[in-house]
Amino acid sequence: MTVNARIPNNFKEYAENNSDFPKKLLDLLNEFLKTSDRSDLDQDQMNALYDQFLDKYVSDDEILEWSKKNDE
Amino acid sequence: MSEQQNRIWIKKIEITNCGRYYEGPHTLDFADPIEKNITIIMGDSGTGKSTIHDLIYWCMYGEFKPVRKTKTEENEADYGLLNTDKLETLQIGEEVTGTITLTIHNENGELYYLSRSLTAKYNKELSGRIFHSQNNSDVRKGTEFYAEQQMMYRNESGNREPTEDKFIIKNRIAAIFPQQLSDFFLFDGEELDKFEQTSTSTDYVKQGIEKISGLNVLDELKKTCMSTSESLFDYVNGKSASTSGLNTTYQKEKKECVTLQDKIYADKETLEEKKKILEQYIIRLVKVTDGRKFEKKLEEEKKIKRQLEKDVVKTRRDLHELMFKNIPNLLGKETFQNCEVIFGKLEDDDKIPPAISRKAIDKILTSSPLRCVCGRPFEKDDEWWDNLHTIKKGIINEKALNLLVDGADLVGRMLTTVMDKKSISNDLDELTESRYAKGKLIESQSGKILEIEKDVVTIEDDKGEDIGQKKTDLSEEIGILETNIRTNDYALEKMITKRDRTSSELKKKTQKANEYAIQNHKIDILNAITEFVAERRKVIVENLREETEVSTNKYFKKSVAQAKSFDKLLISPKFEITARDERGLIAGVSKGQGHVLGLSYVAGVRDISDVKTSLIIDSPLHNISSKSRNKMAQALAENLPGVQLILLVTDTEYTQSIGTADAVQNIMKPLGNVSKEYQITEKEIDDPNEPGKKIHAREFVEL
Repeated sequence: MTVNARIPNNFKEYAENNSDFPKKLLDLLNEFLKTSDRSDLDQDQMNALYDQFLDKYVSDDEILEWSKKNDE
Repeated sequence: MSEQQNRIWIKKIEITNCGRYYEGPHTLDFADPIEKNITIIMGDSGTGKSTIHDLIYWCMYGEFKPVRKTKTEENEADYGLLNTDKLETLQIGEEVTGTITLTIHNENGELYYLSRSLTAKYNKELSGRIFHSQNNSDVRKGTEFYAEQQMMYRNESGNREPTEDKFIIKNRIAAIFPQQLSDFFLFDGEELDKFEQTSTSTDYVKQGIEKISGLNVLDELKKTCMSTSESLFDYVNGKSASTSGLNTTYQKEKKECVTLQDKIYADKETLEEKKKILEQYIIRLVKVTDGRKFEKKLEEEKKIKRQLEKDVVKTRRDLHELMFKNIPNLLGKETFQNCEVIFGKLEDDDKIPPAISRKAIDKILTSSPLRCVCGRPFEKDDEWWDNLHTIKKGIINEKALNLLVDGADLVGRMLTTVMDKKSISNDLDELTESRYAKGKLIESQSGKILEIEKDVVTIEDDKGEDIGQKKTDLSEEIGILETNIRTNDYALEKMITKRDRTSSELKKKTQKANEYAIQNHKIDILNAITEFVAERRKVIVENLREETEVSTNKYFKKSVAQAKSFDKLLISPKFEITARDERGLIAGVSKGQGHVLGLSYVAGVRDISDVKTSLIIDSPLHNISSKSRNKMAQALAENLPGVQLILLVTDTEYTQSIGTADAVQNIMKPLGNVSKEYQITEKEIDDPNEPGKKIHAREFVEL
């Protein structure tokens, strides 16, 4: 389904107002949001897709630091 | 957002042999809403207005609206999907096809041409009738149905291209008319009853705000983050990624081996010393006549015993070999190990992502064309394809896997499971019996030796020293020491095997440590995103609630009768929608005011959607008082620019003036937003199957 622009806009606004929020994470979130029209995939397939998306971001130090801080 | 952008509208509806529409196509043509956005479709009660509403829904999703189904079941006058006059007069072998097509446009012109049809064939005459879900009605037994769908879309070159792929069609329609939001573009006026009371409207308001704004996208994102994180966690844990525990075990085992080895060396040294002393005693003993005779006999019996003991050790080793090596191998231990290696290689080569569950292997194997769950292709002659089969064969056999890891009562259960159980069982029996028999012989031999030693202990040398006793005592000490050394040697051998296995496992795990670190990082990121999305959702919902409140107020204040009694509408954080007076207190609403409130919400909540899809309302103005009706019509006409508004109305709702209030038609038309008015009329047609009988068909007449 179509992603309401309010959602990515809200993420972007948050990123602009929070300097410790990694800007590259917005790209990952947008990639996740774009999968919302994949109604042909079941949960296992969606998991696999998310796993693949993460490959590009998993070695980003800024994202890792933010994740460790926010996963408490 | 400009009115020119994201405009989705239905350009044409064509109906053939559906509902009360006999043959066809019966066509409704609509104007671009950017110019004039309102179309009126008028018809008396029971003429087929709701049929249009239902057919649009069926064409889009291939299903009937649940609420309509109930209505159909309750009201026998309602028709099924196919035209009853056609369906009920089919002769054996004849068929009829009902079709509904929607031509959907956006701001750039034709976007999709969507056609869905249902064909009924009367195959054989059977007595009785039966409810058929595809037609949503009772039909004659012996009638068979099949449905078809087709979509034409513009390809990159701008040419029309057809597709019948249900996933493609579903995705494309879901992108512009999401099924879960259908209430907000295919609105049934009867739903307005819910707005007479706060308690019945709350869920509707909440769902409306959450659905129409597309918040379920966030919910899905959160759900998939959690699910992927769990899959990765299971994967990492299943592989026991941490090496620290294993390293501690290895260090402990290594130390135990060294300690035991030192003890064996010390015992061996002591043994050597004792043996040297023993030799001296034996030399002195054989100088005595009886001593020489007993010593010779003793040596012969001991030799026999040593041989028996060697045989027992060999038998024990054979048993060990059989129990702990051959049988597990037969069960496929190696297969499982190979599977793990293949699994690892598949992951290393990016053929399958680690978040994949093992049950997903089944999905890969049944996919056509062959591809990974993430979409990566496998070639038919790809070696990985065979490897996947090996994995499936080995790993997915849960019964065998459980047997291997169970431990308790292992051998017995193995013997009932393995293919060559008879031969293994015989070997096991033979070895056990042999060990038992030799044990008995050793026991007997020990008895003989003991008897001879009794004689030996009586021997003294020429100086009267009890060398026989001393030699016997020393022999006993040496025997105990030798047993200890043998036992410890065996224990050391086992400990070294265990230590080496741990060492090898540790090496493998250390090599994989980097990969596990990546999976753990992914889990961290996914968990943090889950938290982040949950937090942002709260903020977004709050913003949407406020926006909806403002938009709903816009319609309500313009339309409601006795507007002075109300200051504003409030939508609480719990989504309770209430009218308030000037003091901020809740102001009660009449039935008609409740309907205005509901319609204000339905129109208002659309402001938080990004896409300006059509709004088709069945019976929008019933139960609304005459003045309010006019105001509501005016508010809808003025406040939804660029949104296609199709109103399915009765003559009473639209053309008749009530009391001093003018007819809605006279209010809307001068505003210049009404592009077309259609009247659903009844037309009598001669029944081709029964001369003299008339069919009461429907048709659209543009006014």
